[in-house]
Amino acid sequence: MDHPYPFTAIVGQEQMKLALILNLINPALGGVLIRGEKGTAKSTAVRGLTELLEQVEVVEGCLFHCRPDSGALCEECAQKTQWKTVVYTRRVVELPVSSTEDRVVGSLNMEQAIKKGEKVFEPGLLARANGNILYVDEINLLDDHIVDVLLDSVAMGVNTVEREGVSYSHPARFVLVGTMNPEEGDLRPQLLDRFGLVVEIRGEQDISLRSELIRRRVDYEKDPADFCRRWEREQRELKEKVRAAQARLNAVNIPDKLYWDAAKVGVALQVDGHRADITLLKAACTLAAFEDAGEARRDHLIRVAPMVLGHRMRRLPFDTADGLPQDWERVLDE
Amino acid sequence: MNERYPFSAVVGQEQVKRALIYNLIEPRIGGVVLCGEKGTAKSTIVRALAELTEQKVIDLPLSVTEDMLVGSIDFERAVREGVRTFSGGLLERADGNILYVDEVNLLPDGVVNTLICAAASGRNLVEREGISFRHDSRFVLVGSMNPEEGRLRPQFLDRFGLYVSVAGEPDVERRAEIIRRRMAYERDPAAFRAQWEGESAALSKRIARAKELAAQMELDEPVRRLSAQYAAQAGAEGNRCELVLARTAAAAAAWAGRAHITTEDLKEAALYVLPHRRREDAPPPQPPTPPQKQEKQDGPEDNGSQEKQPPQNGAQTAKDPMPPMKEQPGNDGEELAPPPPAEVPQGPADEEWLVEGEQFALLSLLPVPPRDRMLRCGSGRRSRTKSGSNKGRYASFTAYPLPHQRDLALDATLRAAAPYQSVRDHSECAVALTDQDLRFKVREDHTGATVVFCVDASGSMGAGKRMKAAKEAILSLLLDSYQKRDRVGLVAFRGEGAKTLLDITASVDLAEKQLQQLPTGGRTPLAAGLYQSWQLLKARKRKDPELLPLLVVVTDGRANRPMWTDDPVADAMKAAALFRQEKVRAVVIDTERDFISLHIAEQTAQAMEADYYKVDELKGEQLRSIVKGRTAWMGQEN
Repeated sequence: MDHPYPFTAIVGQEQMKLALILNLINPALGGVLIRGEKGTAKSTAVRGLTELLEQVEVVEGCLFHCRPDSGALCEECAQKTQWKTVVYTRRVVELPVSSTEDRVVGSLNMEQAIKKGEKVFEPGLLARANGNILYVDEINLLDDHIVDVLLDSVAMGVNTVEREGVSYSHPARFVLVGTMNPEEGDLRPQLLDRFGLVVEIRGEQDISLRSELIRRRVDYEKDPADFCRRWEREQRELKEKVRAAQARLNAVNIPDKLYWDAAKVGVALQVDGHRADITLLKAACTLAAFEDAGEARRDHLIRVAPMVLGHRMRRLPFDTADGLPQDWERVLDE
Repeated sequence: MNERYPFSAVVGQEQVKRALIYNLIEPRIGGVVLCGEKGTAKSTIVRALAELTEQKVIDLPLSVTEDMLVGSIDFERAVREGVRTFSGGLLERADGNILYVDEVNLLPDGVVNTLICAAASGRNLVEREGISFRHDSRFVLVGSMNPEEGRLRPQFLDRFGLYVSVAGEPDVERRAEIIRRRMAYERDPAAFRAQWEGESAALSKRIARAKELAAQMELDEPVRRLSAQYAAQAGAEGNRCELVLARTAAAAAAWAGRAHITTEDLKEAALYVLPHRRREDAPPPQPPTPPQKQEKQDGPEDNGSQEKQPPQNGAQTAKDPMPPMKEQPGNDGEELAPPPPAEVPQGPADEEWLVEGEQFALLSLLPVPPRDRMLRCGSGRRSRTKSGSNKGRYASFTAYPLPHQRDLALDATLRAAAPYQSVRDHSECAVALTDQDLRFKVREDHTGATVVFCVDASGSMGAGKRMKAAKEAILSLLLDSYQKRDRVGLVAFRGEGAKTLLDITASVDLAEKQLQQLPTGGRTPLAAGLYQSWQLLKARKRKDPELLPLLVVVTDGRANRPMWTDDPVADAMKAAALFRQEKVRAVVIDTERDFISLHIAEQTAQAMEADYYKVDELKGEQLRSIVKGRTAWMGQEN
């Protein structure tokens, strides 16, 4: 597609858009899972991210587009003392639900093996995803063993391959974005927990929003190129805003009290482990950076809390209530 | 991959750290399995071990194929030089190192078997693809797992020397500290690591010193005896337990800077060694009180010079059967003060996992489709079958594929061809292949069942809490389906006929919601209910011929609404016979509790050749006995 529907032209769905933007700013947030009914612009939004992604300097010729400034270099790059870099545009890499394991983790390069009698690793989707966004549509329908593989590399940021005669490992740090329709079944808790943020979305109910939505869609389909041109300015502005937020991110001041607040939420809601607390604070900082607040505040924390905690509440598989408190201030002040 | 969070910067999780350190001190302990909720730094700590020793942490990914684990013929050399040589796999690389399996409970069975063999013998024997080779493979096996995702086979579990149950930190202040450190690390990993370098260095020094101490330590008679007694008390099977106990105690003593083992060391060791070896009906292992009477006679040197022991041991040490601590090696007891004994891991999570919960039990009433020879596909955990499609895990290879199979296993093909390269005719490729070389992938897949619940919602079910009991039973079964990743459907019948409340879906949540809202009342059209379920399953089967169908009927059997004839019971039998003809597995749960029983549900079960249970049987003690037999059987099948 030459002209994906512009991200900024999506009507409503503010939570979803915010969650995606926060992950663009801070890839360490741990990705987004978007749960919602059909036809709620889930995929459109994710694919629309392509246009917002920045260009980065990567090592020339590297299969995994290693960034010299990142802490994660592949073996080859790590051995080099100096790098020649090229400009690389980050992208959205899609993992289709029907993918086979060898395509995901990589396999033995057939041509090299037969023609030259050499064992060479043929990179898979996880290699392509390094430094990028890995998008899985209908992630709840993914085969179990593929989920296992994903879990492995999401956890470590490294893809370790021990199969088909090749033994190889390479960095695989990516922002995992999944979309799913919960009617088709749920995600395994372990995978669910790996997502930094989860947003539940529904179709917009407001009539005027809905009619605006139709109008734009019709416009777009009539002439995608022209439509995109009209949204160019908004797109550019958002892109710049994201860039600026990235630059500010590490300078956002975190008051001591906020660590305490984040920890308190974790205890009060009885979440499993500590990933929730850490993500909560990270997300609050990222939001503060996005809004150029200089300091992460409690209201940032409260605003991201539903996205961070909704899926992490300790509950039985059949507990329907999400159990999130209505009054966060009270939880924090208790 | 180049940067790691420092070991000493991990807040809390003392037990995990300790268990791992003991394994570094005494590798023969046999590894650790860390079992606990997500996000508790399990893998962070394991990976951080690398900075404390010369040992490497080797990852065993879940997608590993068997040949990569044990090793295989060196394909490149075979092509170039025409010689058959062995090229080592993960087990060779793991020799002398730490082998780490994250999500160890998800590891495929074939791989587990190989691991068990290697871990048991300390060596790897390879007899495959025309090579015969053996090499040492002594490694510290470390696994981490989240019990929500499934359990470990007992035999595999026993291979892990130590067991630690991991939970999050409950204290707000410490939680805040965890976040603070993590944020600091992510903002500037290099600076953070530098900050902790001193601690890490001190820690590795202490481990190195403890290692020397442990190497000289003897497991003398009293230690061996007490270990054996602890093990016996816990009802541990086999004799590995006491050996591991003694060795762990030795490591604990060495860690505390002592050259001999005290009762306290053994007690601490018991915390790690016994939990996963304890028999269900044995009393909880902590704290295992030392059997004093006999020991006293055997402990001749029991002359109380316990001043140097930490105060909290006072009470027990009076009866301490161990040789007293006469010589403190080096006088650095202060610096290496023994750490306070770790907390007793008796959290509820631990309990649940060790003793099979009622919930788990009920589910095993479902007939588990045995491993079958028919080819099936689908993801799920109920059973593992060879997959005929291109889906599933690449487990092994074969030279004799099925007619439609064209899923070439390139690696195996090349290895098969490699030795003959010197004598074959090459055109432009380095490797000449012939038909005989071709190998095809054998894939393994888990097949989830498709379970249709056929629920009686008639008026008679409303009486005597039958419906409540029925719902409870179904809920348990649903929970099982959730873990096994089955697909479920729900049919209810009452009044005039039957209704499909939920078409077959993987969303177990939806089924549960429908069930909660299910109203009761009206007559009992049992035949209609069965027929409707039959149609539902049949429609699905047409779409997916490899489906494993399962029917669960919940009824009191008081059929009083006919479908085809005038006789409601005869109609029900007729509908039931459909399932038998198609060999659909079924379970009938009879909710009839009255004194005068009509036994229609039972007859229905017979007509379907289904398993039959009374709802009351599904509770309490009786259940346990049924279940035990079933789970044992299930373990074999899986």
